[in-house]
Amino acid sequence: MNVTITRIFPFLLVVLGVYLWIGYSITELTGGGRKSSAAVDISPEGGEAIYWGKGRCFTCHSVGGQGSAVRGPNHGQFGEKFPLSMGARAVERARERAEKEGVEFTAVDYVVESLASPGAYVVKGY
Amino acid sequence: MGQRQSSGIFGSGANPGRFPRLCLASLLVLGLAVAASPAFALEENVYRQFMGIDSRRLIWFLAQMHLFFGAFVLGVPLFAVIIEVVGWNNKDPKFDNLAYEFTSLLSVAYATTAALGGLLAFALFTLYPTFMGYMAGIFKDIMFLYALLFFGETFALYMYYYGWNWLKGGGLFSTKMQWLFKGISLVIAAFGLALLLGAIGPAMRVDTRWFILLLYILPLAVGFWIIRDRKSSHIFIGILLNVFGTAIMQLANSWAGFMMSPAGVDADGVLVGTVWEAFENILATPIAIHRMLGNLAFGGLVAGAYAAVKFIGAKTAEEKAHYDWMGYISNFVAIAALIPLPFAGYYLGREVYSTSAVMGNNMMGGDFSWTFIIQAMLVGSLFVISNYYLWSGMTRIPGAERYYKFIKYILFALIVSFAIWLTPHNLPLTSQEVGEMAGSQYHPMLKYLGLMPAKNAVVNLIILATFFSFLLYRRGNMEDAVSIRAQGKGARITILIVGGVAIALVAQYAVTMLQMDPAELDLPADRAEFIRMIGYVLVFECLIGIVAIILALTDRGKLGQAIYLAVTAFNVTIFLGVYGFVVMEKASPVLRNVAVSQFLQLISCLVLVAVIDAFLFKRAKSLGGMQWGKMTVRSQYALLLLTFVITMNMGLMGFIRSGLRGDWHIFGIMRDTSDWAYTPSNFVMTQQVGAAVLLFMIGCAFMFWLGGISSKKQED
Repeated sequence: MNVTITRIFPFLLVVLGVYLWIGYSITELTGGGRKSSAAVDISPEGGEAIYWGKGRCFTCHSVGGQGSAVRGPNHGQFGEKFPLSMGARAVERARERAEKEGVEFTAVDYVVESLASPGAYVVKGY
Repeated sequence: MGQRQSSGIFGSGANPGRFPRLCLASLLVLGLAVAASPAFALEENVYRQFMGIDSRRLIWFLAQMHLFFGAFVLGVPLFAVIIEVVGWNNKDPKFDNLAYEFTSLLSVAYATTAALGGLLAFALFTLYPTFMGYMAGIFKDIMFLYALLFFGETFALYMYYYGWNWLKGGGLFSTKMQWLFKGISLVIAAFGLALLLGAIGPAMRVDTRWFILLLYILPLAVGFWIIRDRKSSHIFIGILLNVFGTAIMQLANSWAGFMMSPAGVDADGVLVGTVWEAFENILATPIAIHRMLGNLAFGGLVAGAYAAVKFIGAKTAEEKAHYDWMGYISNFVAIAALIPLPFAGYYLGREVYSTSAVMGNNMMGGDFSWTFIIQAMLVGSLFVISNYYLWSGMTRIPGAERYYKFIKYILFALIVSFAIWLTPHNLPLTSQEVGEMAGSQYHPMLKYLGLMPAKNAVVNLIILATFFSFLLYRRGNMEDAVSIRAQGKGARITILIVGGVAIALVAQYAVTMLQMDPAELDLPADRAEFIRMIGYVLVFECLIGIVAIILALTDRGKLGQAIYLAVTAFNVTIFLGVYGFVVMEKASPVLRNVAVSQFLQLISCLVLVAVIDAFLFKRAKSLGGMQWGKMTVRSQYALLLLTFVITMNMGLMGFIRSGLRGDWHIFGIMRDTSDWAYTPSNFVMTQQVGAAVLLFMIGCAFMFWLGGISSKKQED
């Protein structure tokens, strides 16, 4: 029995190794590990923690090649469909909104509105 | 065999102090539940840590370990009693000895489960006092019952195990005594009938009603009915053991269900309904059904791992033969439970969606969509490896070589289905790859394979292919089919009854589909055609079922089976598989009805074909006896791999179920305000589950080792 079990355990370790490798690969493929966002500073790092963590933004959006969700537009520069960075895109969208609504609309207004009320302006095709 | 009988893990030298310890643990849990100060959902949560360890991961790990051992303890008695009944009915001591050997694995596992349960309860009450105070406030009555049921299970288990030899032999009980038991059985059956008709608990959920009927009332009624001597009394104790075990599991599940779908409380978490309403929350029974089948499959496979370990280490041909047979029975039990498991999972998923679209979307399209891809890999592996084990088993059956030619086709169907099952809807791509697909992140063809209709179609095909492998296996050494007509009325009546029930199952849903108002699914009236189409397919399936019965009764059973299997495969895989996409486009809510219709057709077909097959080859001329023990060592590693995979999958599914609540302790009622209120990554999940699997397997090895030294001592 003892000899048998010592033969079997390396087999188990190999199986568990494959399991871990799958978990690691999929995590890397889909945007990396999540972080706690219980207390974050108002900083790009804090925003990133919320984006990939408690905020769950990644369930609908990707950022460039990071993440795999396509339910909402990609938030980075990605392929021909998203040639502009998020900031440049916000400026362009704000201009469109200002022309359409006839009121002043800045890029920051657009970003804040999109966060607070995602349905206010839906990008074509989504 | 006689030696094996008396050589359980503890043999006759069991630790007499274990029972008091278990009782003490139960009382402590009870005490904690009662002593917990009342708390309310809106109170600020208090979180504590033990030695700076992440409390959530600690609780996760302990709960996982408790569930692994608990699943084994609940799963093994289920089939141990069934095997004992088979031996009792056939008067074959081989089955009785096997059932005893399975039961001997329980003692250590039971004590470990109780110890881990106590540890988990202490950890929860000390690390999450506000949350547990609230739960104890709502469920204090249920917690009392839970602790008391442990006494029942402990008594039943030890009576069942230690009374095995004592309750053997002897004459029949007096006629009066037998009638007394039959009378009790009739009272229980009458109670069951009243429950079925809604005279008792009219507001009870349908699934809870059937759960109680099938898992408590029916076994108890049958158990009392069969008591006529000491052996049947022992079987009754086994049934009682399962009833206690199931009840314990159901009570604990109600807490897990309440955390996801709270009921009987207002928005502030104050109990405004009854404890029964909180207990019978929406997800409690779907989780219990899923867990019940999962436990059975898990228990079967862990027992199979025991047999595999013993086979690999066996020194004599006799030992190899015994453990080969034990492994086969274990795997058979596991496959029988695995087949309906995906449907129980689908039902649970559907109820999760019904409870909360947020949880539903998070499950299939959010945080856990990729976890489900890993799950698909694991479940697909379970079926492929199970088939491999059956095919390996065919090498020990004289005459089975006639069927080898089918294996490549089954393998092809399995691999294609497996590949489709784990294809995600959208793939992580580089910008260059997106450019090559004309800017779309969805692959033009693969995107369809990632949708639910494709998944439903292939899971049905996987199950059919596995069933087909099983048919080939059992026909291996049988020369040709025998006449069913010549077998008398019994065979014909059985086929007619089973066939009638199978067809009625499909027919009732056909009627529902033909009468359903689209408004019930929030659809406009013009979408009725999509629902009616399902009804027409089901009516056609019923007709084919009738044809199969007629052919079987007129000694053309193989043709009947072939037609029924082929039509069912076409209906559930090809027609409804493709039709699912149409429905998804035009009348999306109907997709769930498509899935239910696929399940009903498949299950009915499997049941009827299996019964026809049993009579077709009953006492058929044999091409040679089963050569137990003539199995490759490789096949035993397949059995072990099955155990590892199902254990990893259990952990993964627990992660999904629990994680669906997101940052809520109790969904919509009590928020998780701790630092750990975020969903861990799949890598963290595999680390956590992997560690639990490793420790559980070490625990199993320890159990097997104890069994080994005990057997050796007896032999000496």
